[in-house]
Amino acid sequence: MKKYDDKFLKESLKKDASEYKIKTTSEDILAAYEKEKVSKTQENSSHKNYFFSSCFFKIAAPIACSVILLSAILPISIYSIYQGGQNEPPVPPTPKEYGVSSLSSEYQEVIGKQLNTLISFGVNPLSPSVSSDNKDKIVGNKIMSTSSISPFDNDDDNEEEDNETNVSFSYVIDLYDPYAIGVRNLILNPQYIIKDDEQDNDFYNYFLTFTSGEQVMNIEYSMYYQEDIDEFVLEGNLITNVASYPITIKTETEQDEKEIKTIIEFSENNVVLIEEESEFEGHETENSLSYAIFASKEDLERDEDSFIKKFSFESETEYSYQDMEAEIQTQNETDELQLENIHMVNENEFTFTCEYESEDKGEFNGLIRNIFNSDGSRTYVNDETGEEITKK
Amino acid sequence: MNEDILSIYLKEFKNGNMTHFHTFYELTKKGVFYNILSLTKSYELSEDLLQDTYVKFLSSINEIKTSKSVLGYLIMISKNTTLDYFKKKKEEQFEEYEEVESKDTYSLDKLILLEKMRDVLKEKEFNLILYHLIDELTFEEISLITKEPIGTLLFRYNTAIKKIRRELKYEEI
Repeated sequence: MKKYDDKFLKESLKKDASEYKIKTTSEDILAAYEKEKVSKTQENSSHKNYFFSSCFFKIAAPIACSVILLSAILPISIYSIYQGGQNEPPVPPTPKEYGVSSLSSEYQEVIGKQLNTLISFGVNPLSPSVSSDNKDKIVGNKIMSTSSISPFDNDDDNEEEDNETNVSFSYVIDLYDPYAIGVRNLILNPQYIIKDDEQDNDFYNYFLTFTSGEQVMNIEYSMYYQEDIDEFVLEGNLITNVASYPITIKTETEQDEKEIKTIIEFSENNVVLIEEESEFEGHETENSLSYAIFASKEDLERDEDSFIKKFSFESETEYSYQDMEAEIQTQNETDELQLENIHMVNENEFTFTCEYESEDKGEFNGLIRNIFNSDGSRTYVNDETGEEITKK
Repeated sequence: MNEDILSIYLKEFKNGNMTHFHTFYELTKKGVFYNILSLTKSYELSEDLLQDTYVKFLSSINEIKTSKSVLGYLIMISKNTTLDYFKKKKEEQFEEYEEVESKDTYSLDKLILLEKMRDVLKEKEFNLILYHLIDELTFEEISLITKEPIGTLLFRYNTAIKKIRRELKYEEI
């Protein structure tokens, strides 16, 4: 058992906890609960439908909320869980009944970047649904290994290392490499050609197309307003050249802040949650983006921390100065990989300081150079030891 | 506090039997309250949100699986309730402590400590600190709540303490 000295913290917190007496009683709670039951019964007897103008987004972009459309596949709405228990499931949308507005152009760009980065990871949703013939065709401009990030991969397999390399550095690179191209995309921020068309379809009003080089992605979608949370939801399908996956997007915009939450169901036991937040203050912008893989929809709904693997990326920009960090976590936080001081030397090379910590395997700290070769492989150099590893 | 006892009470509540609600509340309120307080920095507001949390808990009682951690579920509801409150009020969640307007008479230092802990720690780490130091649960008891091995909890706790020391620059007593 490891020793830890928490005396300083224990004394501070315990003192406060014993000094302050919580005033709310169980009787107060039961009384409030009974009152709410009565008022809910009265509310259910008057139900309203809302329909929204197609001009909503375009006029009120700085302060408007985007439309949220919950997938009819989800047994309980994400937002009822998100709100901690108001579990009146939203009425699933009937064909073309709600909302006619389309997603605003600024959100289209953000979502295009999110999804392109996701595909660049070679995230496992592509591997179960792709036959061996198709594996090399997809995933945009680069051919990626799709095996390392699968939540069902046995991590021990990755420890059969090249005997010539240091085990610790090699393990760290095995953990990081599936994300390398995605990180590069986030840094380079490539542009997309985006087209949004109305379509004549019983269920979805719009058809978005994202094109970047050879890679094309589509989202067919509709949006509706969810009364109990006063927000809009997008519901639709993400269409790649391999398959179609249900997708739900919630966006919020408040003054100086923007938040987007995207859920993609690649299969029953393979769900990805993408969260992006941006904050603007004067000349400073902070942006955070995370991708978390869950073994099931139920796991995601129960607890957003019950992911199998999670990748997070943060950047702060002030004038021309940019600071970037990334983090990779595995389930139960047994492994954590942190990248700091990410610095782009040129389009095909960047450096970062890497800190890795694992309960079982120990620690790693070092400066790493990441080079993208013309054949699609990635070379990693441990700056301290000169050790090199190339991944294809 | 025993998670098994909480599960027994949960079953009673599902059947509409609130006989042991007072005991249940007394066993769980501290950890939930301090979780809220770390976000609001106001004792008064935290009292209101504490009540809202338990009302929401009771409203969703039939959807809680008896195999899952009751305390963990309460902590989750408390966080979501607090965040929703701020969203609706459009208030800044993390203000500098000098700007906090509070009528509370208790030490502002403790509020700052909780706020800073929440800033530097991951959610699981922060919850672990609450369980162990506020609810005074042993790691064995926490292991039953979170359904994780004791070794994982100890490692996480050690990591959390190191982070707090490093980020808050506490000196060893």
